[in-house]
Amino acid sequence: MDPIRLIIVGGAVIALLGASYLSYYGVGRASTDLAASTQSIRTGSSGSGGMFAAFGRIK
Amino acid sequence: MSGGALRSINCTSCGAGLSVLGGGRVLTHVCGYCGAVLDAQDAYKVLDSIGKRNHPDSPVQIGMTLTYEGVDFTVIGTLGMVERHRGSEWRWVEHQVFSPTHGYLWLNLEDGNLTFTRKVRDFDMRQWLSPASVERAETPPTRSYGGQKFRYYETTTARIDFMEGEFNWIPKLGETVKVVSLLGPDAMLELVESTREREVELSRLLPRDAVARQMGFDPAALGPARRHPLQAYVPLREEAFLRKAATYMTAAAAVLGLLFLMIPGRTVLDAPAVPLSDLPESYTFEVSNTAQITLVEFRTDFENQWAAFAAEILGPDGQPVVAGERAVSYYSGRDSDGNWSEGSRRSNFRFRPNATGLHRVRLELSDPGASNLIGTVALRIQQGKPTGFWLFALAVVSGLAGIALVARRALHQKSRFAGSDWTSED
Repeated sequence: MDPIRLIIVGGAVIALLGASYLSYYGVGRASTDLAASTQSIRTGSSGSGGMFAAFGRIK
Repeated sequence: MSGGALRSINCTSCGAGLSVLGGGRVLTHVCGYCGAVLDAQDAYKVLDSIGKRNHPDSPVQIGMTLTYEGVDFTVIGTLGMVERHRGSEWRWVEHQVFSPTHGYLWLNLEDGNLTFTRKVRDFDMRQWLSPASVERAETPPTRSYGGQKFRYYETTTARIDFMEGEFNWIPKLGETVKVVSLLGPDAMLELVESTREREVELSRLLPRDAVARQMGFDPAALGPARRHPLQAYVPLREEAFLRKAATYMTAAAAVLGLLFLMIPGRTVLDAPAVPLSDLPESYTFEVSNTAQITLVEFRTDFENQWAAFAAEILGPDGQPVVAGERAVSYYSGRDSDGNWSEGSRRSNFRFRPNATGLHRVRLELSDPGASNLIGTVALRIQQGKPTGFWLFALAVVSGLAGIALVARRALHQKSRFAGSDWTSED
């Protein structure tokens, strides 16, 4: 097989495997608006869980 | 310069030596020195004279030779052509070339590009397209030839402004022809109409540098080449394979993403629905998988109401691990357009547990909203829940790459018609 084709196929396989790994383990997919405790939610502080974002407009 | 004369004559008007290169079907020989138009079929009698005129700007000279598709041609004549329209002027040069086996063809120089033109004998003349027909057409007319489709490109009214050398017809200074050009995949079909006849020609773009070197002059002498509509598309290396790979990868990533999305994970808590008025409520669940995401889902039976729920998760050591709040809002109804609904009866958040063991979750109503404490909520927790995100992202990226490759070719195709004189009247 042509080396360029080999690189293309290799790259595609690596990309698919990489995306499958990241998706399977949910890398970077934990919710980002979580708080350390409900107390933090009530006070609106981020605690250790990062910034808590209040939900938006509710009808 | 290559090539050589078969024989020569002296101009019967000025006595200059003229090479005779064009074979037995040459009708006219125009003296390059005095401009006398000589009858090649009748002892080179003087038929007419164009006088001394400036030679058009072309490095191609009479006597040069060119090999095209394995056939040797000799340049035997030069026509300077001009088109004037609304104060603008376009000039190009047409060189008649001759091959003892393939007859008389044309080598043209326009805007630094070289094209090769041959007559077409097998065009179905019922498909003839006149400038008047073009004017009446609502869409760019198309014609077929040789299994290829040609689309209207431009109409030209060309006038002979200069002539020198041998021709297999009798050109006249100032004579005009109307040419309707149609652009095909790799050739231009030209329907040429003069006062005497209708002819169909096919032109192809030549590799200018290679041809110039072959004919014995510096390609720079052709001047800068403007983009030509017959300029071939230059694909990327392995472009077709790349396009195919992008298509397959898009499909594979999308299918895998859907598959991952549908994998439910293992349910570690499926609490029964409780009335909102009974909250807060606590549950325990066992975490055995810290490598993957855990999904906490609020499931309600809401109807035209909303509320916000919070779930605080405590680890095996009783310390808070994480807390998340989600609003659940669901409204539905019926209007003149039919049934409608807005929002969802469910909501969720995802977290990654940092320890295995027994966890406790406390579910509470953080904002009763418009629920008036009516309705129920159930909490479900699944561990080991894959996401389709990265696979969908890959599908999007590879899909865009595939689209970019297709668009590249489409843009080239569009740019080929950029110089067309067709205008759509909206």
